[in-house]
Amino acid sequence: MSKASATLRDIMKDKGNRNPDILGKLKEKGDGFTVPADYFDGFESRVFERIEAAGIKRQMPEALVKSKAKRVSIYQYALAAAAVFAMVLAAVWFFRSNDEYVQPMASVTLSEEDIEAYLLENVRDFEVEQLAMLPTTEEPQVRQAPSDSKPVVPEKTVAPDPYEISPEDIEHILNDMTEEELQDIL
Amino acid sequence: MITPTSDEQILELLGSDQTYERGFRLLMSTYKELLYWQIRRIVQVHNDADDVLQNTFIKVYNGIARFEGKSKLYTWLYRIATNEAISHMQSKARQSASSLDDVNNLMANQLKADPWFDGDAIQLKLQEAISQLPEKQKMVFNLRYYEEMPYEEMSGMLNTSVGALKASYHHAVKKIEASLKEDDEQSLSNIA
Repeated sequence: MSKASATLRDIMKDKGNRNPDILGKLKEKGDGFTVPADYFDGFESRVFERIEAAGIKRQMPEALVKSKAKRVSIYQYALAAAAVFAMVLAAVWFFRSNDEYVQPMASVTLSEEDIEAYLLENVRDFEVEQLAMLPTTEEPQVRQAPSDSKPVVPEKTVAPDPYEISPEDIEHILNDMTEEELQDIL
Repeated sequence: MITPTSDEQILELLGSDQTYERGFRLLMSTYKELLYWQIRRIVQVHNDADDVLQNTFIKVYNGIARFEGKSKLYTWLYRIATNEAISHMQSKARQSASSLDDVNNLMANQLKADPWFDGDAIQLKLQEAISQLPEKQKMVFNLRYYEEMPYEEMSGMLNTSVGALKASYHHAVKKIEASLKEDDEQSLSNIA
């Protein structure tokens, strides 16, 4: 920094010696302090050498710890709020569409043909034991009854016999028979 | 000057073991010059300023956990640096002088001998006058006169009302001007 040419006397003269702005003029000259040209270049390394020599342990700023905790807290609140909102939305939607939703589901039924077709198509996916447990046409299906009663066996359905004699037929036959023929039968 | 983003970047880096050293280096590179000049204007001699600045950052490293983020990082660092500089001066006074006048004479002599002071007689006289101010007035004067810091910003930094800061600065200026005029004949004869 160059030596200033202005002096205190010059400053006083400039201002008529009444209210001289001494500090204003001196400020233009600077404070006279200088530093070595490369002083700031290696400063950080010099400080770290002293820190390592002193064995000072690093610490996390409290501001950062608080801010991290705050961030987690906000995240948790947001997650909880989203979950509650989703539950409310689902409940409203469920109750509003209860009729339209439940009825179609209730009306969905599977015929025996559908089940049979499905089983035949996917027969390789079933274990032998599972297939063996399937009901057959010869074996009546046993429905699970309440635990305090015996299993209920459904009545066997038999195809109508074309040669079966009805009570009406028997009455006609008896009317057409003579007394002698009846005596022979009895 | 210093942007809030810089502080956020520094704190973010200090938050991880992997980036901690990089963060602390960034902290030092961001604030070292600002703090150096604050310290230098209190202790005046370059070697003392260097010692105080290094001690300041070591204290910061050791006490960074106590930074709560309620103020700007620079404000927090400035307080540590100022306290460190004042402690340094008090310690120096205890070691080598017994009275305030002795301390002022010692500082003036050291400043004259400092190879890193190239001011003329008036600049030396100004530094002597500043060094004789009470600590608070010295802080206010340096921040306002050299740094041109707004009173509002200074208020947060020094925990003092704007009115009190303006009064402090006014008193400091009057004292310095009086000191400069007091023996101006002697000073001017030396300069001439």
